[in-house]
Formats: sequence, structure tokens, C-alpha cells
Amino acid sequence: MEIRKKTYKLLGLLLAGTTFYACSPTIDSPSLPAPSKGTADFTTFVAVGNSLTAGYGDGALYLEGQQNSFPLILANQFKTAGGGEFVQPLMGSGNGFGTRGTAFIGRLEAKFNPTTKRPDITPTPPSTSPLAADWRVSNATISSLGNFGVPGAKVIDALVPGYGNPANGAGRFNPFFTRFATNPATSSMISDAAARRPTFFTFGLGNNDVLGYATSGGLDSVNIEAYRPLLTQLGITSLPAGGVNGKYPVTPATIFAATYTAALRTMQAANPTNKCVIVTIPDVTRIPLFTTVAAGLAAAGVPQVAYINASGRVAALNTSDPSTGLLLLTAQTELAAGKGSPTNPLSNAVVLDPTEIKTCQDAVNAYNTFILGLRSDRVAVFDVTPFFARLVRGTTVNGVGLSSSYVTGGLFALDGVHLSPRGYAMVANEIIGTINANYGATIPLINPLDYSGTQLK
Amino acid sequence: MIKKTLLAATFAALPFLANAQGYWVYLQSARHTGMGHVGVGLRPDASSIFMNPGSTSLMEKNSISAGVSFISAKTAFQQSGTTANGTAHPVETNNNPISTPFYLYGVWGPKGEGLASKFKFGLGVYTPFGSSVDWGTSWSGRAALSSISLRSICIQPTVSFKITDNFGIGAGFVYSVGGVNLQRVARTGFSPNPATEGLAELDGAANGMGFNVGIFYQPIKQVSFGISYRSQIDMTVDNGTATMNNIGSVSPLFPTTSFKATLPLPAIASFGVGVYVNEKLTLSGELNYGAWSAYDALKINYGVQGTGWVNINSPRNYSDNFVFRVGGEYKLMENLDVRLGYAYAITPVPNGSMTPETPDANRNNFFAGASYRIGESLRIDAALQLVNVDARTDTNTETNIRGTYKTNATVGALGVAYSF
Repeated sequence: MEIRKKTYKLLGLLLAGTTFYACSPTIDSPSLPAPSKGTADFTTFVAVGNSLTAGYGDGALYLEGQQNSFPLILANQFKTAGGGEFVQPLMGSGNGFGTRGTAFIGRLEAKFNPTTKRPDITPTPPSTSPLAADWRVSNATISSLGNFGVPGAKVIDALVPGYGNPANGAGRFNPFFTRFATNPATSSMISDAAARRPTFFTFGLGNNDVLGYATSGGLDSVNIEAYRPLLTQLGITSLPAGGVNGKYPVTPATIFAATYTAALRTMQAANPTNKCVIVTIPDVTRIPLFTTVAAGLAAAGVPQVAYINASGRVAALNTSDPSTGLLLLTAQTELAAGKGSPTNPLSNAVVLDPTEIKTCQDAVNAYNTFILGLRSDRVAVFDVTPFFARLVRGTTVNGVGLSSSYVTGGLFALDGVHLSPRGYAMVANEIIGTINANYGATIPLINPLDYSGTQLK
Repeated sequence: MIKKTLLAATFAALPFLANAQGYWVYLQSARHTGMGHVGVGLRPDASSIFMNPGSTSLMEKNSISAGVSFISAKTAFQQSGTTANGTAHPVETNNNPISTPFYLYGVWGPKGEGLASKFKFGLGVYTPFGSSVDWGTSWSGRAALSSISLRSICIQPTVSFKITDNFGIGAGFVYSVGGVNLQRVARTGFSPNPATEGLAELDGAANGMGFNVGIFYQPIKQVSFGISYRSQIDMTVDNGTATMNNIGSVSPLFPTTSFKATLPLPAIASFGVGVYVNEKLTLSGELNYGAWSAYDALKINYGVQGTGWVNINSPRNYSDNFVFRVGGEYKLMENLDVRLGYAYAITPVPNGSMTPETPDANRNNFFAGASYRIGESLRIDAALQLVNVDARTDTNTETNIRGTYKTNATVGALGVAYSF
């Protein structure tokens, strides 16, 4: 009997002990490094770049995009390791401002159409314009500015004094720089940014040296001749071969290298101990602007469309073979109007033909080879190419699929060129990774899912 | 144009279920649970229908037994890396319902002499696979899994034949019925407005069949051996129902539809030894080999194509695994047996394949149990099992969910057996 009692007691104790066992799986706290700046100094952070730096998206520069720009995300993270305030030239609330052709528009909107089961994408009215009285930001903003992203700026533009001067006449100045140029008549983007004496900067120029040509279906060109005075200052007296009256499809690689070097060196000289991250150029022919329409046709069982090529002849484009040509998003309007057959071909402007694709890719490759060669103790390079390839393949964050697919991929803006807040957050993480790896810092990453994907109403 | 892209990319890879190792619910007899769930190589009772049909024929009496277990399991998860502030991520814990696998066995054979008396016939109804995992709809990995409930009930008619008094063979046909309910939050790359998160639910009945065979041999009084093999059972959902709730404006992309899926319940080969030290003490060891490599991918095909539902093909790449078991039974008093056991299970889940539905790792299992006999014929069994799953850090190659999982489980088992 005694033994039996003891057995019961033992069993009772076992029961009591185990009741709480399953309720308490514990995980040992990991030892995490405290945020630190490493050899970098984020006291005064400046971002130099184009629309991607500005937080442009959905066909316009608007407040919500700016509030999710990658430089601002970076600056917020830098604050964990001694970073200071970061001021942006914010637009007022509303749809913002962009252009489509010659028209002024606000941000594009995607609205799911239950009948067609696809999003309808339409521009909203602009909430402001360069003609508005409050187009320029306040002097207080200008004097403490951190974000020098100017939509549309090529590398060479960043060096041009008076790049924001309306007196130059339409098409000869950039109204987005007018907004915050210290002196629109004389300032250059680089002179203004360098005047901030940054302790750290990002440098994200170069996309527009090829994008203008690409997004016009190969019609646009870069007028290098127009920059003659600046080039002379840089010691370039003769233009490279391949131009017609000083015009080139894309910025010639030698000009790109010379102007990139001049801009970067000026930023470095502004504070001789500063550090930076420079960014390579993605293969522009793989952004949704160029990949969406043909893939859609192929999926819908349309194997071929006809278009007029750069030589004025009718050519065939295989919708499942991007090397035979790329259809711009703007081709949708022409397709909807019945174009695309050999007798009624798509226009040259909505197609990037194989020769044009090669022109773009050769330029990007040359630019990137140059940029990657600039790596040094003070210059870290965020190479976009492998990152972008991952987005094209599609990736996941916590089980959520993200990709370069138009609208559904969540990372690109509705214009098919720029990024959504979530896309910019992914870029910010990559740059933080570059900083941590190159400068021995431990800046915490952010969760891209905390940022809005491509918005679909 | 946009439409097609929208369709293809939206809901790539709805993953699904399966509590790997965990979907082996090795709780087929309260008596055996108390001693490490060894049983393949031990002299039989009615649960031999499951353990080793080869030994069933060596039972001296007819018997029925029944029992139920109560599994309380909890998994903690902590994402790797830091929050945006540089601090550790909070630990998230699932809140699983208590699951109650059960068993019911009946064994009958003609008594007396002659050929007929060498046969035993039996029927087993038991639940060897199943899981219930509920992470809720707001945890960090909700896009991969919110909750999963996997049920299976095996019905096994069995024949066992006694070749000699110490050598038996047996076979059973296994028909398995069950069902699956999987829920995951439909988080999208794009942001619907208002910013809603839909909930996808896949629900369906499943069935499959297989067999269970065994050999039992007791060369001398002190030692017995057993080998058993349970075949793979492909649990097939032929006509499940997939529904999407609260997905907002894009709901036309997600009509309620059917789905098909197959989940393999892997084959298990076992070898066991029983040692009868004296009248009071019995010891046993057992090795299970699970053919988990059958689970290479989770595939779900939807009835409608060209909508937001995109067929699933999630890699799992499981490996075959071993489980080592030892246990003993001691006759403490005339009416009371006490038991202890231990088992070590090597996980079949490879690196890169950790999922919230199967947060598996190598496991230490501790067992204790007791039986009380009332008279000659009635026995009441009770057992306790503690499962300590190693903490494991992994990055899933498909979902990129990165973090550390730690699971503990407590099992209580109760059973009753009657011999006649």
C-alpha cells in the first residue's frame, strides 16, 4: 500500500510539472549588436540623384512618395547611429505633379475593374504645377536640405549652373530643381549639395542618361552639344564619335565617365573625410514599362505583333521573346485601337526594337563598369544588377511574394519605371547592407512589408 | 495584358500543411506510450494490430482496447535579425487547440486446437497522423500560414497467422479517411485600398489506402523480435473547396473553387526487440525508419485556372529519418505495472524547409506510465509524454521566413483493455 501511495504521489507530481511544460517554450535571446556607424559618419547626410532619389512614383512627384523615399528611410535608420535630421523638399498634400507628353498630370491611380478583371490606370489632376506661386519650397527648407533628388536629371545636368533657371526658357531648365535651388540662376545640383558639406552621401545618378531614349521607344536623344561650355571646363574639347550634330541616343560613355567623376569628386572634396554609397544603373529594358505588354499578349495567345522600326519598315515582334523587341506600356492604347497587324502596325514610339535594346544595354554595361571601378575606402558601390535580377525572378519577404511585375509585383510604381514605397524600402535595405558591409556599421534593416506596395483601389 | 500578369503573380504558392514528424502521431496505445511507444518487438496485446500485425496471432486471449490522448503543443517563434529600431524581434507563440488522437482495437480468434486456432482476426481504428496548428491571423508569418488542421482516421482489418507457437505473421489493409483545413492570410505585393488582408481557406475531405504487415519471432523465452512495415498512404483531396474572404476590390479574381491535393503519409519500417529479464521486468528497444523523402513538394491544383488562384508547388524536400526508442515495464505490484521510456527522433525536415506548419527539429521524448488491473480481464492504462523539440533556426527557401522555432509538447494518454 505504501508503495502504491508513493507511486500515486509521483504521478501527481509528474502531472503538475508537465501541465505547464507545453505552455512555455522559450527561445534564448540572441545577442544582437547595437546599431553603430562603423567608420561612417551620418551627422550630415545628403542624397544626390534623380527621380528615384526624390521619391518620385506613379508618374508624379507627390507627398506620399517623398515621405517614403529611400533617402528618408535611410536617414531614419541612420538616426539609430548618430544620424541627424534629414530635410526634403516636400510637395503639398494631394496628387502632386508630373508630365505625360505635354500634359500636366497628378499621380496615376490603379482601380480594379470587376468587369475586365484588370486594373484601369488613369492619371489624376495635378495638385500643383511649376506655374503655382508656392512651387518653390521655403528658404528654411532650402538651407537645411538633405534630399537633392531632381527628377529627370542626367549626370551631366547635375553639374550645370542654372539648371533650375526658368529664364533659360521651356525645355532648357528643370522645374524640379527650381523648387529648391539656392539660386536658380546660378546653382547647380552638385554645388548646392556640396555646400551642405555632407559627412555621408548617396549618389544615384545615371539612369536618365539612357532612360529618355528608352522610354521614347528610341526617338529621344541627348544633345551633348548643348553642354559645350561645361564640357570645355572639364577639358573635353572634342565630342566622341557616333553623334549627329552633337546629339547621341544615350550619353556617350566617355562623357558619362567624365561628368560622373567631376560630380563625385566635388561631393568628396566638400568634406574630405566623408564617405558615400554610389549606385549602378539597372538594365532599363527589364523594368515593367517594357516587359508588361508583350508578356500579357503572349499569355493571351497573341504570338506576334507588327510595328514600324527605326528604319521605317514594318517588322515583327515575338511577344514571348524579348530579344525581338519590347512593347512599352503606351502600346496598350494603340493595341486597343486595333493596331499591331502588318497592315496596321504599331508606331515606332511604342516599341524598343532589337537595335535600340542593344544601344540601351551597351550603355548601361559601360556605365556600370565605370561605376564599379570607382570603389575605394570612401566609395562603396551598391550594385543594382544582382538585386534587380532577384526582383525580376520574384522574391518573398515573410511569405509575401514581391517582384518586378507590373502592379501585382508590388515594388514598381504605376508608371512602370519608378518604385512603390515598398520598392524604395527594398532599395534602402540594400544600401544599408552595402554600408554595413563596407564601413563596418550595424545599421538595422527595415521590414519592406511595413511600407505600402503598389496601390490598387 | 495587365490582367494576365496580375493573375500569375498574385498568389503564387499558397503553401499548405503538414506537421512533419509532428504529423506522425505515435500514440496508438496508452500502455506503450508509457514505455517510449516501443511495441513492434514486444509480445502482443490488442494494439499489435497497429504495432506489428505479425505478433497478433500469438495473443493468448481475445481482447479489445480503446484509448485517447490529449496533445498540448506550443511553438515559439522569433524572427532573425532586428526590428527597424535595432532591437530583437518579439517572440510569437502559436495557440494550438488540444488535439485528441484515439484508438480502438478488437482481436478475436477461434480457440482450441487445429488450423483455425492459428488465426487471429482484428480490426483497428486509429489516428496515426494529424496536426492542429494555429498561429492566428496577425503574426509575422501569416502569409505562409494562419492555421492548419489535418485529420486522418485509419481503419485496418487485419489477419494474423501463427506459423509456430513462437513465430507469427500478419497483414492488414488500411483505409484512411480524413480531411484538411488550411488557412492563410492573403497578403499581396500590391496594397489594396482599403488596406485589407484577405483570408484564404482551403477545406476538403481526404482519403487514401495502404497496408500494414509484420513478422514476430520469439526464439527463446527471454527474447523476442519484430519487424513491421506500414506502407505509404497518399491522402488525396479530390474535391476540396477554396474560398477567399475579405480580399476587397479584387474579390472577382478569387471565385470560390475546388482544389485537388495529395499529401503522402510516409511508409514506416520498424524493427524491435523485447527482452524479458524476469517475471517482473520487460525491456524493449525499437528503431523506426520513416520514408519521408516521399514528401518532396506540396502541390495543390485549383479547379478554375486563369484567376487569382495560382496552383501551388511548394518544395519540401524531406529526408528519410530514424527514430530510436527504448522503454521498460516493471510489475511493481500484483495489480500495478509502471513504465518508463525515451525516444530520440531525427527530423525529416531539411534546412531551408522549416515551415510554420511543421516547425520540426530533432526531438527528445520522455515517457512514463502505469497500468492498473482489475480482476483477470480489465486493465486501465495511463501515460505521460513530454516532447522537447530542439530550438532550430532556419530560413525557408520559398517564403524567406527567417527565425528560430522552439516547440514543447505534453501528451496525456488514457486507455482501457479487456481480455476474454
